[in-house]
Amino acid sequence: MKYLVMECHDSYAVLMDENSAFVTAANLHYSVGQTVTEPVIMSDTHTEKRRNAIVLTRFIAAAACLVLLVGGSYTYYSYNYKTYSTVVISSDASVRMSLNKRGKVIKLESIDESGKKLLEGYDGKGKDQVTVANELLERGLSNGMISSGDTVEFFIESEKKSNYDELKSEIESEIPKLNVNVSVQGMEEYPKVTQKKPDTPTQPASEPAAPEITPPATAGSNKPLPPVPEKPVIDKNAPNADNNSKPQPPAKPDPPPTPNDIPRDNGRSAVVPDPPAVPDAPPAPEHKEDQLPHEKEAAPDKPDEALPHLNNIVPDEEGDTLIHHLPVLHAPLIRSPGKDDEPIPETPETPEPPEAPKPDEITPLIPDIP
Amino acid sequence: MEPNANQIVSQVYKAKKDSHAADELIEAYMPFIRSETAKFLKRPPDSSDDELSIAMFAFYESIRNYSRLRGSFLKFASLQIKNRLIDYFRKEKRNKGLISLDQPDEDEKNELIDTISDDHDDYAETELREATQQEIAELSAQMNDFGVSMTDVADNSPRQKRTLEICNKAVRYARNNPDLLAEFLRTKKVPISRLAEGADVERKSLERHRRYLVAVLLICTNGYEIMRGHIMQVLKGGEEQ
Repeated sequence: MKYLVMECHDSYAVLMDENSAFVTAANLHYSVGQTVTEPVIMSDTHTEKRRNAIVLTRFIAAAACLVLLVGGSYTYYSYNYKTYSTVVISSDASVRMSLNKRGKVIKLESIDESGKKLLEGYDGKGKDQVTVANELLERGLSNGMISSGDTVEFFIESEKKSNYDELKSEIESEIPKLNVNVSVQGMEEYPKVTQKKPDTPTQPASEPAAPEITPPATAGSNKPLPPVPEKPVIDKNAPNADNNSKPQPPAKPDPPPTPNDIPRDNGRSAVVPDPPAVPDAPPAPEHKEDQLPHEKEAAPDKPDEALPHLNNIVPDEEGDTLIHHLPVLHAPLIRSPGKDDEPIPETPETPEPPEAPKPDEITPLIPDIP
Repeated sequence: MEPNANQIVSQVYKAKKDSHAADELIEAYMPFIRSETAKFLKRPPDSSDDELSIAMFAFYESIRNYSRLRGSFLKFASLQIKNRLIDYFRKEKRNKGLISLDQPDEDEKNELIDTISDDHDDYAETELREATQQEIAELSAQMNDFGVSMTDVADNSPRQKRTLEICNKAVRYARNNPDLLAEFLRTKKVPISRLAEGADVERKSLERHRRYLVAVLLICTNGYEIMRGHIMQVLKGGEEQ
């Protein structure tokens, strides 16, 4: 390309090319009217900026398209394929319906074998939940799984309360036309209703045969307990040496045993007395005086309630050595109903005899100490 | 330090709009430009060195492209000069294997260019250049009547090929319609509407390049034969149509 020098300045020259375009170039000792080739032309920052702006605009447009595409896809997915609410139809046959945001059934699954039979050959996808429920109940009525007048339970779970109410009202208004009773509840009720209650009580929480101390049962534990007297019984006196014998609920309550029923047992007694009947033996006032200072703080006013195992700790003959029964032997006895929450330490450190022993009461139970 | 920096910036912003102010600023900062060139060449530059011309041009570019967001002007100019000199050095490096015609021959009595048979007529060339200079001087004077300078035209010239083609289309239409050029000379206004309508191009594109159209339309009028010969390719297209 040839350039005609049109104007010259100290630092630059104005050139005209053969396409009649005017450019600014370095004045490499040019003179006006000279024809030059390969000049050093000024870089056009405006063009660069414009090019960058175009690239940026395209990038932003592409990003916006992507965002729209992703957003639209997600919206479509959430409206059509995402489970927004769940309805469980529970009768003899239990079926779970997953609904999308528009209330259409997107998934239909059986919970039990009867539900599987009920759903055989049925496809309710894309249908309204009331329609599906109606059709399923009709199938159940025709199959004999449901009889007229039976109660069919509906359990609803939804992300929004309004949707829950809407579904509930739809079911309550439409389903009774089939001559069945309808009970609509929240999904949180579903496990409670279907849970089977135990018919017979199981074994006690702690078996005498297994002297390991188990962690205390929680307050809300549903573990059934053996029949026990109304008031929990804590044996503070006699250790349970016979590990195989189970505690029997007493026929009639015995007088409250004192904590010092077995004064010199040293943990070797083998006779297991019947569980005492009276749970709360009033502690003797002098009991606290015999306690060590730190025990006095820890021990409650009613040691048989709070720390029953401490009541089995008695002084020896000299009166200054504290002897206690092994806690493992007491565990079955002190873990009475209603006392499950109380932890039982393995080795009580602070024995305290609350009362003086009464040898005549314990003589038949405790062997002589050599 | 700060007032001086502000003064430079104000001078630069003035020089952006005024080519004379730009020339004055470049003249004032010639020691700085020489210093930057010397840093690159590792020797003081001679006034005949192309590198010095490139450095001056880079300084002028810096004036045109500078904005306050770019920080100190002199640092910006220094970087621009360095980059331009590097580019020029790389460009010249490609021609390193070539022998200059100005080099002396084997006998070191004559230059190589003297050994080549020359069909060139220096006298005719000088005459042509003088005639061209005269034409360009006349054109510049006529452009002054329109309030347009060569630098303005260079700034207003279309950069994109498509826009240039639109303008050339309008110029070709004007050249084929002498009454339009006569109206242009008489009114000293570019008949944008008639050009746009006649050439079937966007009026907006022509309006953006009004000063450029002034120069090219003037070249298309009588009296600028040499320059018309230079842009014959453009005008040929018009004749073909």
